[in-house]
Amino acid sequence: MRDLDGRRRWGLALLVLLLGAARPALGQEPEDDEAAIQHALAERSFRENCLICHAAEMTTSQRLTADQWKAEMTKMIGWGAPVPAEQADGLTAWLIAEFGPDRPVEEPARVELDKSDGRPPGNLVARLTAQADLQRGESLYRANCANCHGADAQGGDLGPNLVERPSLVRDADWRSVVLVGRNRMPGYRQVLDDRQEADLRAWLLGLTYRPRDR
Amino acid sequence: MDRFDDLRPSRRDWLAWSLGGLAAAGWTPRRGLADEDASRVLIVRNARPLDAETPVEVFQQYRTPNSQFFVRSHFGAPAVGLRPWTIEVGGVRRPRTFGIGELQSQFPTVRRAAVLQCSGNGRSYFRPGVAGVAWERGAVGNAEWEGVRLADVLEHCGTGDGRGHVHLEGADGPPMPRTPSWLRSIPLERALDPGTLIAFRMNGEPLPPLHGGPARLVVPGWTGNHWMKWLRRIALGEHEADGFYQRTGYRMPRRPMPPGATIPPDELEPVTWLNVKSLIASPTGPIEPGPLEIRGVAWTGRGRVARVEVEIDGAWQPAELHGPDQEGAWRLWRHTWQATPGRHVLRARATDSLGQSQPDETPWNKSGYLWNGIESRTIEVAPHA
Repeated sequence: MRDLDGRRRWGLALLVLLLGAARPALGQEPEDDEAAIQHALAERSFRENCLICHAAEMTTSQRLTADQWKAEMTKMIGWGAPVPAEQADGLTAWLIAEFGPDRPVEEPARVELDKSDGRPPGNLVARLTAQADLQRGESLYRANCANCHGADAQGGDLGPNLVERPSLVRDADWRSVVLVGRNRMPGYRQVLDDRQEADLRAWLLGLTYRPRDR
Repeated sequence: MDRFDDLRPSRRDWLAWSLGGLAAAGWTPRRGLADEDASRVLIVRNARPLDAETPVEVFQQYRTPNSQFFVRSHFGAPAVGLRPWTIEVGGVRRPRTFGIGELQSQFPTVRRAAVLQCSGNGRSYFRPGVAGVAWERGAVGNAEWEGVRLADVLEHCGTGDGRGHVHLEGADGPPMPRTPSWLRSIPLERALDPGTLIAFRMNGEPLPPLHGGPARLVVPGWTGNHWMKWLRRIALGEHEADGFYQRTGYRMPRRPMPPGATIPPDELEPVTWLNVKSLIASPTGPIEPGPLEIRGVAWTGRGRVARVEVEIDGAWQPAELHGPDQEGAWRLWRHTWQATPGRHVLRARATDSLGQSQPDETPWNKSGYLWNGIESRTIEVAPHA
């Protein structure tokens, strides 16, 4: 993208400003605008495409050669990472530059395991499903969600598997994703009323995972 | 840190998320912040799905506590408790679906200690580096598992001529349609081994969901990839399971091959048995001069741990094995050392009953499986007060 026209360049500069302002010091500072733009675009592509399925450190903890990163990209795109074709080279170049074999390893975070038994609290599932109109929930799913998350809700081209996922039983997770949205997923606050949201959730809670490739 | 998360976000991660922008993506959280809590023990290799390892100093006890036991997830813990958990047994003469309570009441309860180790434990130590979860030492633990014998269940349902493979499915579905499902199988012979269990309890507690609860397979002596978590379906088949994770992943060359070599598929074999290995659990940091007990654990796959030796500044000395001695579980070891001021290099080497010893470096393999190289630990001993 050496021949950006003026308008495009302004647009990208704005993007850098919006996306890049909080960019932590992962690597060396890009030395010019062009590099900064490429960097911001690659980071956005990483966030929007890779973090659908895994956290950032699955990638940022790796220290791989250029050939290994190319192989990882091929593998992940083959496994469904929806990286648009025009972003693949930039994303690969960013991975190679930021996470090569000679980069220092970051100190990992520490975590305490969830002490609860992981089950939904009390009668949550009964409460969520008791009053629900499952048929309406399914219709809402087909109209609003199936396009990205698949007809069986086990994942589609853009949206991950929703069946038996813990976010269905964690109120905060459910609300933040479904109502507010995340990355490429829009929020549905303006689309679903409380009743519809509850019907949709109840229908999803009733599904059981079955491997498609069994 | 985002919100379809298997891990509850910490306050700090939540803050990062709330701040928006790229900070939201869970960028390499750092330690040492004000809200850090001593109970945050496990080392995060991937927050979602959760892969977290045990710090080596925990390995001074026979049983690794559930709350400090490493977690490996392919696709993340499913929501358990949406409805009563069932395990379907298919491909047998009398197919049947069991509830957990039915399995527990119908078959004898068995309890046994066993080491669970991820096949990629130690992957970070391979050179040249390889792709995969960047485990160091702690993707391993020893627990007491309680459940029923898989053999009892299979024999009850009728296994036919005694040949074939037992296919295993968990409830953790892949995120995207083109991501291979986590389908695995073990040879029927291994499934019928009396040590192979469907476990419902771990260290005396109900099996926690992050460790595969309510039900997982226990395959003592074999790597963790066979210990199917969130076990939902068991099916007898003629051949091993299809798909990437059985036919391509979890394989390594029969003989060591140099990095970059193209290896024909028939030169690859499944990763199954653990190899002999030891870890130094203590000391891990600077110490005072005087008598000090060097402590650790050692285990193997086939056979038993025969001995552990400790090398201090170049001189090998036998360590004392102590605690329970059960095939498939680990041994505790200790060695008392008169620590003198200065810098010292400690190493530990285990040898098993088949005569296998830890090498200085494990032969390289491209997925970084079964690292068991001898570890060197440099320890600073303070000057006399």
